[in-house]
Amino acid sequence: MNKIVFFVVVALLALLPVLWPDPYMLSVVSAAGIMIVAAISLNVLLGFTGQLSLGHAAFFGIGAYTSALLSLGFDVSLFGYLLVVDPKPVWVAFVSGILVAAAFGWLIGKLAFRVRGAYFVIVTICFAQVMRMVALNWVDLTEGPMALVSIPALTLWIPGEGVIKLVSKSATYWLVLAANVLAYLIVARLVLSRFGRAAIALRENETLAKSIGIPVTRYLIVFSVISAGIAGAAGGLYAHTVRIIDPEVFMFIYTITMVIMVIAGGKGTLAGPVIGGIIFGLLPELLRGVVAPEVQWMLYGALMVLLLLFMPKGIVPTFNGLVRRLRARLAREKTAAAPAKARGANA
Amino acid sequence: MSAQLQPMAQPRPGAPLLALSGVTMKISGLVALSEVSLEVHPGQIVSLIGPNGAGKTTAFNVISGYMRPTSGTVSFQGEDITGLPPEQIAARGLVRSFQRTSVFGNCTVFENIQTAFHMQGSASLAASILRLPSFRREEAALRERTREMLEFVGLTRRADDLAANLSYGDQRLLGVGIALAAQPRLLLLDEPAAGLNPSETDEFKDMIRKVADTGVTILLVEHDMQMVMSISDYIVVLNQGHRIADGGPQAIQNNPDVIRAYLGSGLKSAKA
Repeated sequence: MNKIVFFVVVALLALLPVLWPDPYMLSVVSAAGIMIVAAISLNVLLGFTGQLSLGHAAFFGIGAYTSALLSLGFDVSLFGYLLVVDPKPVWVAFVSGILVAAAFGWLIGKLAFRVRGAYFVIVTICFAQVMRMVALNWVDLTEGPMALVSIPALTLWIPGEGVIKLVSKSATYWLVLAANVLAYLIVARLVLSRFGRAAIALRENETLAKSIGIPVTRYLIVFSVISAGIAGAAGGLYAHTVRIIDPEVFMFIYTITMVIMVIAGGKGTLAGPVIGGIIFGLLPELLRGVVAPEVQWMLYGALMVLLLLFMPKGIVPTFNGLVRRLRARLAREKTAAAPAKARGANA
Repeated sequence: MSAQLQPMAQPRPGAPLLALSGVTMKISGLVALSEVSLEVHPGQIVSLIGPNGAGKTTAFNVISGYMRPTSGTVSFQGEDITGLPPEQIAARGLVRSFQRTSVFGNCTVFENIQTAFHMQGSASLAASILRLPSFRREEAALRERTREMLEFVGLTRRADDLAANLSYGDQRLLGVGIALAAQPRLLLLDEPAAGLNPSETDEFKDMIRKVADTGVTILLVEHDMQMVMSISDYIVVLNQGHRIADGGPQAIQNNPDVIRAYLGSGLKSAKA
């Protein structure tokens, strides 16, 4: 049932560029789609282990910079030695971006072994700020505020066509959609396994989790690595589709956007970040032509407040709760009707 | 003089399953446990009793690795486990339940138990994400064992309810199910009857006997004297961090030190 819904939704989304080939719309949706991948990655940590990372843009940025630098090639002098790196194939660069981001995820996960809650939040904020400073000031490597430009696009080998560059709006859209599907499936399978149960146990009741032999810190690290890796993939996707990046990718506002998407959609649910991401990723663009920018931000804020007031758990859990209550009522009516019928037969 | 009055305590053959020797625990200057030694032998139901503040819960925390004792050693199955983290102690077969209800509230009853079978699974991350046959087989086996455990603790009908929505008594039963799913050889129960009504307490007592019958040794902290006296094979009494008595239920009820420590009231009602 769920599988069929998933398949139909993906198929419909895949048809979008064919049905509505408007380049502006496609680029807006693609940009939102990249943020949704990032939101999915944040949800891995925030939703399932319960640890709030307010530096998630750092993993996004690390993925973007690593992938961009490796595909462009760079030279940098380190301790008096000149390190020259030739441009790598774009997919090698992309995968390296994921791996480097995941490595930093491991580091942050290790840190969370010592600090939890508010302290973890502060550590992650600082981490993102430090990364931004590095990107701004290590001009030798990152070009600083001058930005990295002409980043090559990702490529795809198609039978009969050879290797093509994924530069068209539709190609970018499909690429982002594929990344979303992949990220969603990985997270879904991760969560619905022994690993997911261990992480949720940590979120729900760490003391109890330990008492039944779950080494919670190990799972925190696993989730932190996977979360950072997916965020790195989103960053790489950003670098190779926008094809220019500057230190702004590390900005706090990106993390906040991810947090809003996850919380509004419903943290700890699979569909939450996707639903939240669609709403808050597309809303600014939808409002752009209708109202003045100031009003836009006010509406954005008001929507957020209303959502949290009336659906504090997020859209998806509220919806699920509604369905569950409806089902329970139907079941009750059924069982209430059955004895009545039996009595009727006796009489 | 009390020696003649006391009937022989349960025979205690062989090596103890759990042994505390000279355990002292100081918590910011306060001596919560002072040179406490005790042994729990396989197959018994042992109770740890004493007035409030006697150090019972502290003893549990020390045994299960949530606190590191100031001095002394805790050994389980002959192995020194002093200072090991809780999850490693649990992996050795020493599992505890908690004083207050302790469940994974936002998960269903089924998921609670399934989660508690954690140590029984071994699927790798790759096998889980790729949904390899080994993963599918393991998950099916764990689901089956989860169903069996729900049957055992009598929560099959509540399987799909959120744990947070269960009654207090059912949450307690779920807590036992969670602890049992971790396959304990020794199960520590911290005040399981606290806050239960009399019929729930009786049900819980039956549950403890049923668990003991499966071969699990039980160490119990409990205030409900009626329950303690009726199910314990052996009782250890703590008062202000010291062990003041131990023996079978009869001997403990007649022990003058215990009566003095306890103001008598609990024991009178226990005898009644």
